[in-house]
Amino acid sequence: MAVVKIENLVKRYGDLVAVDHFNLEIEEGEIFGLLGPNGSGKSTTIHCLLSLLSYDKGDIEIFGRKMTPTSYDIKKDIGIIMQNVAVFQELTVYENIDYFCGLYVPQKGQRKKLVEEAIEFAGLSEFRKFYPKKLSGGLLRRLNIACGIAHKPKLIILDEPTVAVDPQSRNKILEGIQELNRQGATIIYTTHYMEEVEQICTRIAIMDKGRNLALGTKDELKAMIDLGETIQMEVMELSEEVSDAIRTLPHVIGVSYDKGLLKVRFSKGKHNLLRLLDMLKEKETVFGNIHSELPTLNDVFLEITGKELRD
Amino acid sequence: MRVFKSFFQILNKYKGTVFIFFAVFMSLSLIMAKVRGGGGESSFQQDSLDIAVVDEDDGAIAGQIREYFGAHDQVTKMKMDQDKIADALYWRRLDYVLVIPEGAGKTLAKGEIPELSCMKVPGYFDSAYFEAELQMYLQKMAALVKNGVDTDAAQQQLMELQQKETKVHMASFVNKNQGDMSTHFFLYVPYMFIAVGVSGIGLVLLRINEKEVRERTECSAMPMKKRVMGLTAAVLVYGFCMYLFVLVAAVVISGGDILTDARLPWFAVNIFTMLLFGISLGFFTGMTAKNGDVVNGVVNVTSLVLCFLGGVFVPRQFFGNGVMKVAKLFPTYWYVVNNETIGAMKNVSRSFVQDIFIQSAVSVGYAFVLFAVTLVIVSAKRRSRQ
Repeated sequence: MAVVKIENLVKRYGDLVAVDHFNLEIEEGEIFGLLGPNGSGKSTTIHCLLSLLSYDKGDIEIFGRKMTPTSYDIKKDIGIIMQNVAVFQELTVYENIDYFCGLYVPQKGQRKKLVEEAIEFAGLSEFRKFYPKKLSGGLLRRLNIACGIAHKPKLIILDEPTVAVDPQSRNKILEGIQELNRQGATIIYTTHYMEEVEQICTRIAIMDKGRNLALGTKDELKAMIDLGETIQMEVMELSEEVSDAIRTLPHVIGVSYDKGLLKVRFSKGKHNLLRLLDMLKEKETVFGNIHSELPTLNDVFLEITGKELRD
Repeated sequence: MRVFKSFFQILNKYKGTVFIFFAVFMSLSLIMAKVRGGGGESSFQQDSLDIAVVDEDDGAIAGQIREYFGAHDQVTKMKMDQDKIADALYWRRLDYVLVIPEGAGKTLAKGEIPELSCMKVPGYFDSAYFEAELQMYLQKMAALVKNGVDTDAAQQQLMELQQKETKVHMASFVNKNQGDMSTHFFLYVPYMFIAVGVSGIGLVLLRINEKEVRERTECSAMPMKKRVMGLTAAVLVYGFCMYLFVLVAAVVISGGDILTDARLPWFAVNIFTMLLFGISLGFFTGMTAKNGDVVNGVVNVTSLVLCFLGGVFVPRQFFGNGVMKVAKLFPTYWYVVNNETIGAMKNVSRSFVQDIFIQSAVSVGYAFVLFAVTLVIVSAKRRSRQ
């Protein structure tokens, strides 16, 4: 059963179409990545999904039921972690988690247990009596997550939760998300960091200008594009003749040379590196430090939209 | 219950701010109730000076002056001795030394004012009164002499004139209707309800309505109706605590007398109207302010402006017509009018009840209008967010 089903969603702000006939289905147990540059419509989609925003057209179903602002029976199984930290500066770590958990779980005894588990999960045991302003950026993000997941939701929506977080905390957060997924939660993860999506997501949708440009697993997305690999090597001097000769090699789709670094992009095919090395040897071109890269989601995004993800 | 509890948990962080307003209110109301409420007005008391007269004229004038001023002041005779005079002035044994130069008597006998010199304690204000009085004496004496009265007869007339005492009546700046301690204590309640109401309710609502927290709350499983009920209950309990505090404080400072005062229920009604206004203003501020600085600004500006122009801090008897017209636009003005009416209550007449309810209706009306305006703003904001 689809946990989330979005059909033909359209959201306009005046003349601007923020979400343009967007369709999506997310299955139970997935870590679904919604990838797109800033302003691509990810957050608007999430806000529509949560009924925080009204929309002009389309249908949204969660757990097989239509989502509305008063769908409290659906909301009780959803946890949200927004981009900006949503906690009370006046409450301690424990009180914050208890407050937000209390919006879902009225029973005090049950809630106490859940709050303790969330504190443990987020690694905040030592900081339970701390006020948010005393926490580092990473710990604050973990508190933000703990507030969103304390009630053990079946669907967790994380909207760019790692913005401005140090690498160590980011890894901790990503590991936590995978752990939540292992515990049975379906995750929707929006970000513009492709490395994070590659690391944790089982399926990915690429968004731009409010539209769903591509959908699939990371391998499926990479298979959608022509690029097979990119070989980079240090070359002291590259003549026009050698550069032209490289372009004639099979599967080559692009050659660039800048500040002693040669980049050759190949479409899918075998023995690309061997052929390139033979050619350079034949032309007596000195080279060193060779590096081969498989296509990334950024390459996918670049090929689909013609621009970098972080433009 | 969770929302209700969180209101007070958040409020707990602002207890310092709230306490300051409580303290200001208590200090102000207690001091003013004691100073003005006890019926004590500034009193008049005649003061006397230590004056020495140095007679270089060796005529009658020195004696006449000593006689005239000796009725109220300590006037002694002294010989010219600069060191001795300076010493006496320095140690405040004398306040003023009047020197009557040679020929002064002759000048006065011609009906002219002689030039006298003096030595006095610098900056001593009372000596200015003496100089003014002396000048007046000399002018009268010269005028009488000029009109054919000899100096002895003139002195006699002036002495008789001096015997006539003028009754001093102190004009009261205190409204007689605010005369007792209870009326004075309740007079300052608007300051507390506005300041404590807006700072407490405003700051907590501001936090609860911050974009991120609000979104997370709206996504939760707790129905909006339940959240609103929790918050409303918390605000009402907070208001009830303020109300109770004022009543208990009134009982304590009156030594329990207020409990047998027939005016108590009317005072209670009047402060309740101001409580409603304070809560409404807090609700308005919390739901519309952008940040804590705005809330603090509203607290200071509204509490002071409404209390000054409403006649809480400054008796409205001082207001000019223009200020009075403006003052009538404020609920605090009607509160003060009510407070005075209740303060002067002798019996519960029909017109008294009518006045109280009409004047209370103004404050309550303001509270409801403010509340309704806030709801409209909140609703419009919600629509624009969508």
